[in-house]
Amino acid sequence: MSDQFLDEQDEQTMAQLRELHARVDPVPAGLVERIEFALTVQALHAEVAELMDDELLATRAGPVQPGEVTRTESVTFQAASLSLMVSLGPGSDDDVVRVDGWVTRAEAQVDAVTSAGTRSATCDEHGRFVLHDLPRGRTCFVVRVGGTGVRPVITPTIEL
Amino acid sequence: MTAGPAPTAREGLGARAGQVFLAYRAGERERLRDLVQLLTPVLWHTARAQGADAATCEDAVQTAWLQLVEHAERISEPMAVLGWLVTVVKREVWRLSRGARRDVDLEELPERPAVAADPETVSILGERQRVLWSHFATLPVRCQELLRVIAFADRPDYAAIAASLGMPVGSIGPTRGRCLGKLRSALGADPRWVG
Repeated sequence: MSDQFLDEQDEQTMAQLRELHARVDPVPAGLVERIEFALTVQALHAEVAELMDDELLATRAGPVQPGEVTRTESVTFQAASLSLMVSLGPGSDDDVVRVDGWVTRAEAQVDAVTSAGTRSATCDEHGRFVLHDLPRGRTCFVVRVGGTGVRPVITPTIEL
Repeated sequence: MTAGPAPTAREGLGARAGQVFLAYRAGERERLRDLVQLLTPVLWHTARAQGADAATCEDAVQTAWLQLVEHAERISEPMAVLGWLVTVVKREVWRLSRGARRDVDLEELPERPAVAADPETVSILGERQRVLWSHFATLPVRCQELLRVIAFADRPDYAAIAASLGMPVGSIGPTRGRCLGKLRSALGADPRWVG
């Protein structure tokens, strides 16, 4: 039997083995996101900021509840070289949010990295920036300031 | 053979991964995300099939991805990226488990006990899944490892994955092979499965 070509029954058995193991020992929730985050940090040679209030941490929080869509959240990230505060407000519809942010360094460049792509803003001379209509979901922020040899700062991923 | 593989499986997981990796190397950096999503399940099961705990397996899979990016330009066969990652994940699990040196010889690894599902997990399985599990668990450990990993890939990938796991060519491949043949015989002789 062992030198027979694979037939439909073998295909079914393999599919059943896949279902079985996906059920018994599934890929841990959030593993793909943790890998993506580690790869981003590596690619940027970035310093990882600390989330000062972990309520929004995407690896712990579930999806946003329907009752929360208009709630405004503020969260602060702390790195050695700078701090970043972001406030979430309602966007033009329920699928997007407005982000008002403040960086303790003037004229920094802020990227919001979402599953739908990256959106950028430049801080004004007071360190303020606005990102309109960011898609809801998992997002992290990358902050760059001018100067050679200054590492970018990346925040943990949060759930907008 | 009455039915071919599903359309998405025709070219194989490895070939699809190779195409994405080529695009990434050509400068489409955002494709790395697609590659991670495509291959993390098969890599997770590669790691867990070595019998290590979940935390060790997470570290091994993550380390393999970081190494891929670090060595991306030096990988001589980009279309074989799936096999490259499978090999690195397996090696990392053993390295982390033993705290030993990086160049563990996979051929010298001892047989280890298979991962046993706890009773609570088995209780969520359907009747046929329990039968399948009971026979799967009696297979030689190397066969369990091989079948578990290739179950998360496609038929065209079987031979390359077997090679990446350090398996003899005859254990799987274009033909049914020893491991799947054993499982099929055991299931075929079980009235709970056949009936």
